[in-house]
Amino acid sequence: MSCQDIRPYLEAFVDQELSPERTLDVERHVAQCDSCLAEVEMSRTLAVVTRSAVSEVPCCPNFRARLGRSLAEERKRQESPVPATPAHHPLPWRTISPIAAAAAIALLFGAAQRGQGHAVTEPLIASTENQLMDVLLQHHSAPPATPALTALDLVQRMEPRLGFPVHPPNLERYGARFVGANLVNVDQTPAASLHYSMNNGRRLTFYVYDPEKLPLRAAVRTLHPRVVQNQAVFVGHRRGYSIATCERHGVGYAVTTELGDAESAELVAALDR
Amino acid sequence: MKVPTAVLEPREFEKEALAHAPALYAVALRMTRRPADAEDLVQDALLKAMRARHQFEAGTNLRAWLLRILTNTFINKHKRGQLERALLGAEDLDPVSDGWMSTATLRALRDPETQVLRPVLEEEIRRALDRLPEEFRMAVLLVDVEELSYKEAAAALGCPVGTVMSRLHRARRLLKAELMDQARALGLAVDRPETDPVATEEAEAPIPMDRYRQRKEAKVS
Repeated sequence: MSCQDIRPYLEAFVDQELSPERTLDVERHVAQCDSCLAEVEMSRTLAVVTRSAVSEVPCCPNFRARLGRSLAEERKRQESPVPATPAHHPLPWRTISPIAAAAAIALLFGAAQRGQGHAVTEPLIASTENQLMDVLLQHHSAPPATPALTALDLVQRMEPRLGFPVHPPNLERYGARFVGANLVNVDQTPAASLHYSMNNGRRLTFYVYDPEKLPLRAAVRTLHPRVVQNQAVFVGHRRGYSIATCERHGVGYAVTTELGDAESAELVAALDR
Repeated sequence: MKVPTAVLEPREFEKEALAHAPALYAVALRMTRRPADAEDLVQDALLKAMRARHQFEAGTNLRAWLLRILTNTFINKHKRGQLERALLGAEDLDPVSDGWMSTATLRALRDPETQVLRPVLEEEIRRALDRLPEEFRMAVLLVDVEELSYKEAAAALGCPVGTVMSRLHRARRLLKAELMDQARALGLAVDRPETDPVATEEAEAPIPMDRYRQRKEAKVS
C-alpha cells in the first residue's frame, strides 16, 4: 500500500482505533516508510507531551481548603441522621404562617402600616418527606395578596424579630421587581419572605432564615449541589417549581421560582451582589 | 474476574477524590481557560462525585471517573449551541510547520527522564491548546488527556465519531506545528530539507508519475 493509502489511517493507528487487519497494514507500511514513520513518531510524541502538559496543576492553599471544606460538609450531610427512608420516619408536621400578631407588624412599621397586617393566609401544613420544601413552595405559589411591607428600605426593620440581617437583593438586572416582604413562621421559626415579580409575570420568592433552626438543605435530599460564583448552592425542583438554597455567613437563603434550576442557582448566588 | 461492587466509605472517598484535585484542576484550566472558573468546575464536579459516590466501583480508575464527571459538568454548563458557534472561528486554523525532527529526537522527547526541555514544550502546548477553538480543544483533552476512545468522546461531546476525528486531526496539526516551531527554537529540529520525503500538503494530492519516480529514486540513492 502506498503512503497515500496509509496516511488517512495514521492518526487512528496511533490512537489504537483501527481494526486489527488495518493495524497490520499500517504497521507493515510504517516499518518500511521513513516518512510515515516520522509522522507516527510525531503523533506519539505530541500525545505524550500533551498528556503531561495537562497532567497536574497544584491547587493553591485557599482553593484546597475550600474543596476540603465543601466535601467534608457534603460528607457530614450524608452521614447526618436524616432518615434514608423518610416514609417510615415521618418528620414532625411543619407549618408556615404569617406572624399572626398584627401588633408585631404594627410595632415594626408604626401606625401608618397598620391595617396591612390582616393579610393572613391559612396556615399551610404538610407532612410528606419533602414537606419543608413543599410548604415553601405552597407559600410561594399562594403569596399573601397584600404583603405586609412594600417598601424595600423597611425590610431591615424585620431584623430584631428575626435575629439576623436581611439584605433584599436588587434583582433588576434579572428583570425582577421587588413587590413586598413578609415575616413568616416556618415551623415556629421566624423567617423573612421577599417577593419579586418578573417582567413576564412570573414570581420569585426569597426566604431568609436561620439555617440552624431551619435545616432546609439537610432535610431536603432532593437538592443537588452546584457551584456558582465560587459558592456552593443546592438546587432542585418539585411540582414545576425550582428551589435553590445557599448559606452565607451563617444565614440561610432559599429562592423558589418558576424558572429553571440554573437561573434559580444564579439568583440565589446573586444575593451578596 | 468481576468482583462484587465495593463502595468506598465517605471519608475514604473524600480523601481519594481530593488527591485527584490537581489533575482535575489541570484539565479544568484548559477547558475554562480561567482559574476562577476552573476552581468552580472542580468543586462542582467533586461535589457531584461525592453525591454519586455509590456509583463508583472501588478498585476501578477513580481519576477517569472524576474526569468524566468534570467533563460532563463543563459540557452541560456550556450550552451545546455555544460549542457549535465556536466552530465559525475554526476556519483560520492554519498550521504552518516547516521543521523536521529526527525519529530519534522525537522518541527522546517522550522520555521524561532524559528531557530537560520538556517543560518548555509543555508550556507551548498549553498555550497552543488555549488558542484552539473550544470544540477542537475539547477533542484533544478528551482523547489525548482523558484517554477516551473516539466513540466515548463523541458521546460526551454529542457529535458523530467522524466529527471527533476531524476535529482531532485539525487540532493536532496545529499543535504539531507549534511543537515543531518550539523544537526548532530549541535547536531540536532543523529546517525541512528540500528533498525531504516527508509529505507536504501538496504531496498528499496525486502527483504526476514522473515526479513520483524522481522522488523514489532520490530516496533510494
